[in-house]
Amino acid sequence: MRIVFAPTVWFVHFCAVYILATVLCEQLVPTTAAATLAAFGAYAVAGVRDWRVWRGAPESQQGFLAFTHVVLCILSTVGTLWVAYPVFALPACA
Amino acid sequence: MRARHEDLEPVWRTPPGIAALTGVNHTTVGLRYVVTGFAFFLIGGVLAMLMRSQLTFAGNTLLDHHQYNAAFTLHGTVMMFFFAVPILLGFSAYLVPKMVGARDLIFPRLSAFGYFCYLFGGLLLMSSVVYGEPPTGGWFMYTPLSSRPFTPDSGPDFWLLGVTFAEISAVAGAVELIATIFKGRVPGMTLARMPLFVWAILVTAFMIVFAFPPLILGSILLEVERAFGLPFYDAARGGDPILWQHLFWLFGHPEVYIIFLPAAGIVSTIIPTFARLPMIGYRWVVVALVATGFLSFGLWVHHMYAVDIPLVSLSFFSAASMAVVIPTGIQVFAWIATLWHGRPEVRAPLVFVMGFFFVFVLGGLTGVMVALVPFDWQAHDTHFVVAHLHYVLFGGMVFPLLAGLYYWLPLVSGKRLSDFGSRLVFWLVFVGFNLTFLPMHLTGLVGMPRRVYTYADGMGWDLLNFISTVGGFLTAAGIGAFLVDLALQGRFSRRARPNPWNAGTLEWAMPSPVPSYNFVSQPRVEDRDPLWRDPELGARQQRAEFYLGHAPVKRREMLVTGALSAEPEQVAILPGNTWVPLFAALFMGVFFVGVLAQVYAIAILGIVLAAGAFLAWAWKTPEGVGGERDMDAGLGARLPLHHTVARSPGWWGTAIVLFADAALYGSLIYAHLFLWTVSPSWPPPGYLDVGFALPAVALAILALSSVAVQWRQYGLAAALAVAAAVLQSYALAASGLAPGSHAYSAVVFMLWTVQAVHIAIAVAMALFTLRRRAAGYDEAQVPAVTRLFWHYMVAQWGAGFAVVHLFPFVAA
Amino acid sequence: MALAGCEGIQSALDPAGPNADAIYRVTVVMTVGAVVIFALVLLLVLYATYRHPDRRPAVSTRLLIVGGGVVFPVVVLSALLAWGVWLTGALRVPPGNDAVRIEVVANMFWWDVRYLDEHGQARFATANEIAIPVGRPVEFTLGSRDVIHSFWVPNLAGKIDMIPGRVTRLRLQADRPGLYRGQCAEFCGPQHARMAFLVVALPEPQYAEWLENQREPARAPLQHQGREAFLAHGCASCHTVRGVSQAALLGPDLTHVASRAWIGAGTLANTPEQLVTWIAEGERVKPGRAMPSFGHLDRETLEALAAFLSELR
Repeated sequence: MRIVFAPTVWFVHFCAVYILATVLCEQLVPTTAAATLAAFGAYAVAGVRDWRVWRGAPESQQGFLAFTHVVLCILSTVGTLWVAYPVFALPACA
Repeated sequence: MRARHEDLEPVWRTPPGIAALTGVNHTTVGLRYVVTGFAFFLIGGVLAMLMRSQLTFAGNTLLDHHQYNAAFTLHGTVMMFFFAVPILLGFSAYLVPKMVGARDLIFPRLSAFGYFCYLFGGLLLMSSVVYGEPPTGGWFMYTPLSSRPFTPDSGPDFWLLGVTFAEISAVAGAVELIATIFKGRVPGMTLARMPLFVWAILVTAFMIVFAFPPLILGSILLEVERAFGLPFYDAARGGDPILWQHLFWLFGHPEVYIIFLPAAGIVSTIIPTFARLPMIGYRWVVVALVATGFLSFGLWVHHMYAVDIPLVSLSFFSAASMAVVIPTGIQVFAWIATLWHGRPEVRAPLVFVMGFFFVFVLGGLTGVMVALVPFDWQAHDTHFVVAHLHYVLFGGMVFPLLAGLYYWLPLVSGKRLSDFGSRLVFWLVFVGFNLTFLPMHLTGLVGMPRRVYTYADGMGWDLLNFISTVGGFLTAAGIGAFLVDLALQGRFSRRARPNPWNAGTLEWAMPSPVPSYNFVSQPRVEDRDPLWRDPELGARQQRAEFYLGHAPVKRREMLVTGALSAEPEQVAILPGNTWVPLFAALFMGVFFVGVLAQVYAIAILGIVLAAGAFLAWAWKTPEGVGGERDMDAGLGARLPLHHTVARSPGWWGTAIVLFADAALYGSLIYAHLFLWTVSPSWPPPGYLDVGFALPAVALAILALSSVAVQWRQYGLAAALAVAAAVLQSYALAASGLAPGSHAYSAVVFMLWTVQAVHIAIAVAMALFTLRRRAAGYDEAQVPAVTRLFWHYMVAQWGAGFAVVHLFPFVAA
Repeated sequence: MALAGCEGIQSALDPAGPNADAIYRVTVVMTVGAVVIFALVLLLVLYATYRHPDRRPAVSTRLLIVGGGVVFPVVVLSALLAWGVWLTGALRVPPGNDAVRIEVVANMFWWDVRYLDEHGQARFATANEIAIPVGRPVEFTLGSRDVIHSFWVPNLAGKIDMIPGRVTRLRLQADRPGLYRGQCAEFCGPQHARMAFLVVALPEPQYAEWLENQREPARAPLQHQGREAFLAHGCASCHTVRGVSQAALLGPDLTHVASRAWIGAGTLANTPEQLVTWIAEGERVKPGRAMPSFGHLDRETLEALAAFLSELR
């Protein structure tokens, strides 16, 4: 069930910044930056790996799941970026 | 010898007459869900007409405030909990096994039990009207309005208990569907070949597993607060009314997609059939379904923009609400692409899909508008939102539902459809709906709030409301026409040939009306649309050319395959018709009625009786003592019977239940942490001393019991668990914990009470396993399930212990 | 009901201040955008379905799904999100020192209003009608004495909830004088529908006059019989009339009740006849209100009470 990896990372990142905004709002910018970069790294690693799996066997079930996950990595990247954006656009602790 | 219809039917069918109540077959249960769900749809519709009538004119006096508040509360509750979710569960229960080539859902008794829970929950809720104490606090039941001081009558109790009762069926259905989709697909149907409807149901079922527990937990806490005064939501005693809103919307937003995704699955089934083309962008739609499933859990606060929440936090939810548009967009454009490349034939089901496009796209766009925080500060709780949500739910669910009803009706009735009646229904509903809700956007923006039973004239709302009422009655006429059309077609239509739409999916590989066993033999598939690849597949499976097509037929057998590989693994022997699910649900009903009446002796009696029914359920398995361990499944496959395998369907089902269980306990821990963050001092002064040493010893003993269970020492494990429970209970009692005095002690009390219930269940399972062994059962399934639950139970208290004892200890 | 023929008095589409105006602009832009996108998608659907297949040009699936389903929404929504987040921050900037500070506490089903001095202390109380100066920011401090309510004056600003155990804040400003109707927006029980209030935006000099008047206790001489009835029949145990009775908290402050346009939180026009109705049959007019009906009082007493209250300017 590898295909849930990217959306799970999105959800963990989402929860992390939500909790950080509640309990640690003064430190929100650096911690969010770190969490976001970590999530991007995870998407990149998983995405590249599954891209190769998909290219290797596009018609197999593995290839199908790999392709699906590559797209999910891309969507999760957009989702993570959007969720992180307000932290940098709004004043802290408002 | 090859099996024929005459061999299979007596073993699989649901008996006529009163004994029909023993039926567990998915075709029977699925239809019951659909019919009951439609009945609730009509009830909810009548309530809607009452509301619309009241709002026709300013100052109308058709309904008084109490009746109106009850009407909108019950309308929302009935439509969400007793129509939308159950009817889609019914569709899934009916269709999923047929689409994946299975003979039944994999836990037939659970389907029957779920249905009865749903029915009794609905009756319990509606009986509030008979008793003259209907809930009036809205389908969202916000505290503190629904708390005892502000609503002393039993309305909220009817709501909390009825809805919770029905939610058991949703969770049961979800577990059942996931297990069937993972383990019941016919050979060759890999995940890459699964029908998109089944993908949609798989995602939806997982969403139910994680989304319903927060509301169940929230409801339990509210009922406990109302009945025993534990102050979870009472601001004066350290609780917070906003906690309810979080728990409610943690369920409530995924709920919207729980309703939409199956409907999207229906659309993804109908469009390729009538476009005469396999779905284009299949993989993209799967991506969209999975992405929606996750994103929908990051939206809940967008119902709470007007609650005082830090702006940054609000914006997270705004961003997630925007992100969820993308997967929806992918699906819409995949449907357009399929129509574009195909040669669409516009038959009745596709007409309703056209209506779906119109209404749902508009609802999605207003959804983007309300996702924007500042706009929502104006639109929230006005008629704009009423319009938006009906566009999304009616467009996203009712239009596909009607499309699906017309599409699959030949499967149920065996009759052909005429297009005329359904087109009339379409135009009535379509025009009526838009007439009702399109002006309502404006009604909201020019200032009319929701949930008002009366309004002043001259505010610019009069004409708009009048138009909405006219539209409402037109919609109602359309639904009436649908019922008439259904009756006429059932009475006068000619018999349909098999697969009347020339569809590609497996449910059309059987004659219509469908037989109780679905498939004479379970086929192997090589393609996403097996009937397009091999139009003879239906005839071939009926000639018993595939798996499990042998005769004589003595019991209900079904192929179990690998979750990923979809290769034959086991043969499941399914239970036949039985009274146990009905009585189990009835006894649960005794419990709920006891709680409602606050006669706790009756409640306890209900629990004891229900526990007895569940034990009988678990004991009375069809495979018997000793006997055979494997069998010839046809096509050269010799497969073990499911009870001899540790990773049996039962094990999978238990694992999925534990996800829901973890979501429930996780919600309770969330409640604890949430109250901590809003409270000025948590734990409050004087409550610091819940102790650490004694509970740590209890936890160690509990952990030891896990080792004992792993070594199959069930008696020893049970003894250790009981010892740990006694020690922990003593430790809490000795610390003078008074659950009613403060939210902190109330939550700690609940964290331990829920755990204690788990320990009791685990001990019962251990003793059950011992008893089975003593009775000579030679099986791998039951011990495997017991071990799984046991380890979970210990791990759960690990988390509970950390929150209750470790954090304060470390903090101090 | 009162104030018939006041279309637009409670409308988000008729903004009268910067807060509501900013939201109005976003509303217009989004509505236009939504209509355009809706039309495009619907045209595509209808074209793909009804145009004869042989006459349709070939179009790549990737263009449709990736272009229409991913790229297009990402571009549009990124812009919208940026605007929305910026606006969210802009609408909640803390006010400066010149802001008028008013505390409103919601009750089932009326509004307890207190004007605060610079130290946050209440200078005087009133109910269900709030006067504000034109052109000056106003900061509301909001709370609730029972269940959750929501404070909403659509012509001036978006809404925010009023939650027991919490304090919420809302900042708004009126740019032109006028009457703006507000209404409870969170369902709060039986009479949620009849929980309105009025914001009266006054030019600065009239506002100062209004303040001066409200701060004073009730003026003598007063209708004697009505005053005696007010004290004798227990009215004073819930309602404060400064200068006449002791401070009481359960019901609206009536010190200057005659200066208000409505009674019963927007339920009736404030005339002596309606006051009689309200006192004698209030539970029929607004079932579920906390005050019992005083139908047992004779007509003369009721009229005297109404006359007394009508003098409290």
